Order: sequence, then structure tokens, then C-alpha cells
Amino acid sequence: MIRTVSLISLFTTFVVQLMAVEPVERVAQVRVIEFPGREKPDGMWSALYAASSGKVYTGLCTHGGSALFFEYDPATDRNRLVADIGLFLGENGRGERTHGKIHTRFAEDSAGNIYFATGNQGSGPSRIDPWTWANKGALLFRYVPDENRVETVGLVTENWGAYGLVLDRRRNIAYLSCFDGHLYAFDLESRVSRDLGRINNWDVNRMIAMDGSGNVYGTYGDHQLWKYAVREDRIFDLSLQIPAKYAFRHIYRLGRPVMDRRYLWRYAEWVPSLGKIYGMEGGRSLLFEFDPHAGEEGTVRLIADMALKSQIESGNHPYSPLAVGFGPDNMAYYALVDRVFDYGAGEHATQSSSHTYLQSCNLVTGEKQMLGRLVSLDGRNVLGTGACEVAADGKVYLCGALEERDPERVAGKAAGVDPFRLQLMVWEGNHR
Amino acid sequence: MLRKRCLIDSLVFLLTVPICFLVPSHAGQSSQVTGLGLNQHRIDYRDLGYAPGNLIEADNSKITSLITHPENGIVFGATSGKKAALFCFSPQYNHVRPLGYLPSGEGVHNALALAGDGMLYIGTGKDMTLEVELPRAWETELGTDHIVKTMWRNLKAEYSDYSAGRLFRFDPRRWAEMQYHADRKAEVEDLGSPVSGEGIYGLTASGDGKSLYGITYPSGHFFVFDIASSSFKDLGETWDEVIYAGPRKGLRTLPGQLVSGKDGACYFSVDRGRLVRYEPDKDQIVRLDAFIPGDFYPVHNDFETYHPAVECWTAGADGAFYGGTNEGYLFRLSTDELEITNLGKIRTSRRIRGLATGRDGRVWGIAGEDRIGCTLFCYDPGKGEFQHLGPVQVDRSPYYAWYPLRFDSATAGLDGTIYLGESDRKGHLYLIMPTE
Repeated sequence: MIRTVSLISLFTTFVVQLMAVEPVERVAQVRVIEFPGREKPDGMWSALYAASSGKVYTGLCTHGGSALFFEYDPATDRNRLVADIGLFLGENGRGERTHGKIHTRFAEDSAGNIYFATGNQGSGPSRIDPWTWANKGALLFRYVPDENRVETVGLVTENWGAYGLVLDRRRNIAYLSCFDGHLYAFDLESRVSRDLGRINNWDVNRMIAMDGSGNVYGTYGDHQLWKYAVREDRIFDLSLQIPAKYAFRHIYRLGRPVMDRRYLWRYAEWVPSLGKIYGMEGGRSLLFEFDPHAGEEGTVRLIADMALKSQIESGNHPYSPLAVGFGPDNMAYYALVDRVFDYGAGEHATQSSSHTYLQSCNLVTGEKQMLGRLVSLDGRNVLGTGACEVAADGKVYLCGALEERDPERVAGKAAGVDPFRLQLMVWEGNHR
Repeated sequence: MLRKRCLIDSLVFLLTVPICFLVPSHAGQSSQVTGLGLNQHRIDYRDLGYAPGNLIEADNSKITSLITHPENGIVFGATSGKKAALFCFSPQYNHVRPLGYLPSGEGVHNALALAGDGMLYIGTGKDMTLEVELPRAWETELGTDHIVKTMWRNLKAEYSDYSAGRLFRFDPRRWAEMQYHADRKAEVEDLGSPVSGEGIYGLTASGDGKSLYGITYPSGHFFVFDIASSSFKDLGETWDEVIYAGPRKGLRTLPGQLVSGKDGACYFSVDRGRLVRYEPDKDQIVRLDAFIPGDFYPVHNDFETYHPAVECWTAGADGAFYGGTNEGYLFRLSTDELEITNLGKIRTSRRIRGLATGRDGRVWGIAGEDRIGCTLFCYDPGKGEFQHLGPVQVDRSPYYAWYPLRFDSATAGLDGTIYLGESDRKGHLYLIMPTE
């Protein structure tokens, strides 16, 4: 009877969509590097960076709480809490809406100082007076490792938190895309922020990229590229599009339109060794190359479709994770979740029992390889990740939600079901 | 394991599908998600042209002036940016048609006027939507106002090599003949400049249709343009003090718009929130014993004077004028009794940025600051009731979607449609189709 019911169900296309486990069951084991402390941050996006010093920096988000800034030193193999942002700003214990998020990837200046910016972006708490956030916003921070000193550099914009961050080391300017869809230029010397104008809708400019000349790029509309030309001091909407294979988001809800981050790039980064921008399209996990200096506006090339086989067969694609990293050997690493994962978000599209698959792809040849389903050394499932960084030694760092079996340590439940804790993880190759 | 998982998934699916059909997908969302009091199909926008052909490009598409032709219902608009552009929207044809760039000028700030000769007048200035770059190195002179003095010197320096805003004339009957090229100059007639070194900051036609009234930036000159003789008259500066009352930092507080009654008199605000009237028969500006509403801030400390200013006006259906202030108050001005009634403040955020009177007499407005985002409201004079309608968000995805944050102009169409001009980079013309 059970077999009969199961077989009937499998014949429906809907059930095909519900099949989540990638048939490839190769396993990629990651070593967990614990974050110390009793805090329970519950989400992380983009804020992972392998610095030139070899240290790895992480920014964790706490909805309704405080963003946390960590430093991992490979020499000691320990994570260290550098700053509890709420504590640092004196926000904790004041009944206010707080800087609960570090949503930017970190940037590094030529002196090795580390920059990041904060925000609230839906972090709430929604039952606290919203006006307590009114004069806060995207606050730019600098960490001076030599002095172990964190400092605020300035407010980029009021009310809206920051997403994308790149640094023009030569001109000493930080560029940030914020929650209001505007691009800002923050002069690190004068500490003056300048609004360069609206670049896109809603919060979807998660990542911006800078070429070797100081021009800044992002996406808008339907996979189209914009360029902030530093010489002209002006944003241009290019006619170029990054590769697209349309995968609609089947949710129609105000504030979460279908035309969201699926129509844009999800991740992008300048790869100096190749002199081009590489990134991941947001709706279909398409790895692409953008050469901003070729042709009139640049050229775009699809490198590889990184979607999982089950996703391609079912047509059911989660929006692409931010967990993209580029190695010194011109390899891309991508930790793709098989189902719709967004930590503890209550959005009804999120799905429980997710798994994460690590893949690599050669940026030059387009040759890709499935490295396996991510699990910790003790066999726990990686539910989803928010960032991936490849260090100079080739180690692949990931940060995200790891299955947590100790109820005391659970920080959230993915899709309201799967208990997790945020962890820094490192993949050091498939040696086992 | 896999088979068991498939079975569970299948059962969950089979159980949940019927439930999904029973629960309305939109239940409660229109109010809970956005606070909108209008159904979404009553809000839409139009691009300012067509992208591959004649779109007014993003940097020049900040809509900062709108006006409706009282006879044919065509909405004319002007933008600010690197270059100011002119466009029109025909409700009949449902298209925005770019009419070209103005020969000079980076902005048209509340400066479209349809006069008694049936012509459209356009006053240009700098792009007033830009954030003001404030001097960082304060000078060392003494005195409480040294910062203000430095800011004023800085502002004057910005205008030191500025020739002047121009007044242009366009025959609105010719809109259909235009080529609708965004990258060509508009076919307008240059009528000259009212005040050397000053931009035009606000422009309106006199109620009797014979003149145009305007205010300049940054010095706040009031000027009159006589249509018959095609000549300007500068009545000089109108504000006693240089005030930066906010909320926009570094922007000198001046009246953002003027209004004129049928008798040809023109009303606007000056220092301390005082209302003044230009009387054309005497050719003089009279200081009235009427003050627009303003807020009190703890920093005022009981001894400071505050300086609210009018940002926008609309002529009400009841014969009164309705004004919106930089501090976010809506008020009613009865010109017969010279009585100002404070109708209240719709948001904690400041600024009323655009007003328009609908066909049913309701006053529609845009409230909010740049860094907070604008929301739509309407005021019903009959009921004395505000309705706060929230952000003007359009979601017709996957075709198009946009969440606007900044508006700086509004006008009402003859059929009751309310038009709002988005004043951000990538500006759009928004259409609100209210229920009556």
C-alpha cells in the first residue's frame, strides 16, 4: 500500500519538485571553527573575508539584536569576537532598534585595515518603536588589526542599511549600495558621504564590484548592468545583460516582487589575476564573466550553469546563495543549497531539510566539478550558507547554518523546522 | 531513506494543496504589508519614454514640475538632472512623450505655468534635488552665526559663475507635432532671465492670466513677468534673513512654490512663517498678519524664532488654497478672511512635497523626506479627515516593479487621476486612480 501511494505520487510533476536530495551523494567534509560566546546570531550574508594577513573575518547578524564581528586566526585556529556592535555603539539595553546586521562583504585598504557597514534591514524588533532607528542607518566601520581597534568612520546614509561595499584604495573612497536602492560614495578622508543616485529597485543590489580602474558595477532591471564611471563621476545604465535563464519566483506579494534578486547578479567580484569581473546570476545559478574593458560597454560570457541536476529537472530553483568564492588558481567555488533556504525566515517559500552542495568551476575553461554535499566532520548537515571565501592557501571558508543537535546552542530553526547554529567552516579538500 | 522522504513529501503535498486553495493568497496583505488604502490596480507608473528609443535618461529624469492643461487634460512635466527635459503625458493615448531637453538649465523646480495666453511657461535653474555639499573647513570668525555665514558664502560661491535661470515658452497645442526625441532640444522660445546669477525656484501664472510670478534661488527675489510686454520686473529680495530651516541640509529656506488667486494677487511665505501677498494693482508686496503653522523643537529653548516655509500649494475646490510646509503641516488659507487653519501633520517625518486637488475636492499629497521615503495621503475637507495611504509601490512583476521613495510634484488630471512626479534618479510618472 505504501509503495503504491509512493509510486502514484512520484508520477506527478509536483512531487518531482519536492524531491530535494541531489542524487550525487559524494560528501565534502568541512571542519567547524566555533564562534565563541553564548550569543545566538541567526543569519549571515556576504560578511566573510580572507584578508591579506591570512586572517578571516566574519560578520554575523542577530535579528532584533546585535551584529557580531569576529576574527579567525589560522595560526591559533581560533575565532575571536572583536566587536559586539550593539555593545560598541551603546545600543544594547536601551529599548531601541539596533544595528543587527553586517550585510556587506568586508573590504581591505592598502594598510590592511578592514571595513564593513551595518544596518537593520528587517532586523526589527518589529514591536519596538520604529522611530528609534530614524537617525541610524548604514554606519561604516574600520578595524585596525595592528591596534586591535574598531572605529566608526561615519554614517553613509540615514535609515537605510548597507549591502554592497567596495573600496577604491587609490582614491580612498568606499562605495556602498544601500537598502534604498541608492549608490553612495564615502570619502574616507573627509568622511563625507555622497549620494550618487538611485541604481535599482528595493534591496536587491546585494553586491557591487569594482574594476581595476575604480569603476563600480552592479545590476538593475532585467539582468542589465550599470556602471559608475569614476572619471565622469556618473552612473550609466548599460544595455549589456548578464546571462539569464528565467526562473520565476512563484510568490506575488507586495514588498517581495517577482522581479527581485532573481533578475540580477547575486554575487560579483573583480578577479585581478584575470582582469575581469566574475559573478553568479541570482535566479538560476549561472556563473558568468564580465569583461568591462572589452568592446564599447564590455562583454559578458556564460561560464557554466551551476544549478543542481535536480533543480534543472524540476525547474524549481532557489535564488542563488551568496556563497561564491574565487581561488588563487582561478577556480570558483559555489555552495548551492538544494531547496529554498533563508535561515529562520518565516517566508512561506522557504523549505526545510535543505542540503548544501559545494561545486567548483574553472573560470577559464568552464570545467565544473561537484565536490560533494557539505557535512561537518561529525556528520552534521550544512543547511545553507551565506558566504564563501577562498584564502591564499586555497582553503575554502564557508559560513552559514550547520545542523545543531544541542538544544542549548540552537540559534534558530531553518524554515521553522531544522535547528541550526551559525558556524565558520573550512573545506580543506576531499581527502577522506 | 530516500524513499521514506519522498513518501513524507508526497503526503505533505497532497494534504496541503487543498488547504492552499481554501486560503485567499492576498488575505490581509493590502493593509498589513504596505498600509495602502488603495487597491494596487489603482496605482501605476509610466517610464519617461521608451528605453531603446527615446527614454529620458536616468540622470535627467527627476520629475520636479507637473501641470495639467485645463482644456485637453494633457499633463506636462519637466525634469531636473544633468539637463532639464520637458515631456507630456496624454491620458487619451496613455504614453509619456519626451519633448526634448531645454536649451539650458539643469532643473525646473515647481516652475511650469499655463498662462492666460494658453502657453506653457517653463522656468529653469540648477538641479535642486541634489544634496548640497557643505564646506567642511569652518572659518574662524566669531559669532553664533559663523556657520551660517560660511554656508551662505559657499552657496553664493556656487552661483558666482552661474549666468541665470531662463524663462522658456512652449505652445502646448503643438505637443502632437513634436518628434518625441529625448536627445534633442525642445522647441521652446527663450524669453530671457528674471535676475542675473539666480535660478528660478518657483513659478506660477497669475489668476487673471496676464502675468507670471516667480521666486529665485538662492537670493529669493520675487519677480513678475508681464506676458503682453514680455518683460521682467524684479521686486528684490523677499526674505530678511538667510535661514537653513531644513529638513534638507544646506538648502536655503525659501518658498518652494507660489500661488495666485483670481484677483491676480500672489501669496508666498517669508521669514518666521509669515505669509505675504503681492498686489499687482499696487505693484507691491504686503506683509500679512498671517502665519503658516510650524513645529516647536526643544532646541528652540523658548527664545528662538522658527521659520517654516511653504513647499507646495493647490487650489482647493472650496475656493481656498491648501498649502504644505517644509515641516510637514497641511494648512488651509482662506484669502477672503486671510485666515490660516492648521489642518495637522500627517507624518512624524517632515515635508509636504506636492499637493493636488482631485475631482471630488479631496486634497492629495506627498509627505516625507528624501532619506525616509515619501508616502501618499489625502485630506477630505468635507469630513476634515486625513487618510494616510502609505508608499506608492507598483508591482506588475514580472513585467515591471518599482518602489519609489522621492516625489517632488503632483497634479490632478481632468478625469480625477492624480499624477505624481518621482524625483529620484530613474524617475517615473506615477498615476493614482482614486475611487470617489
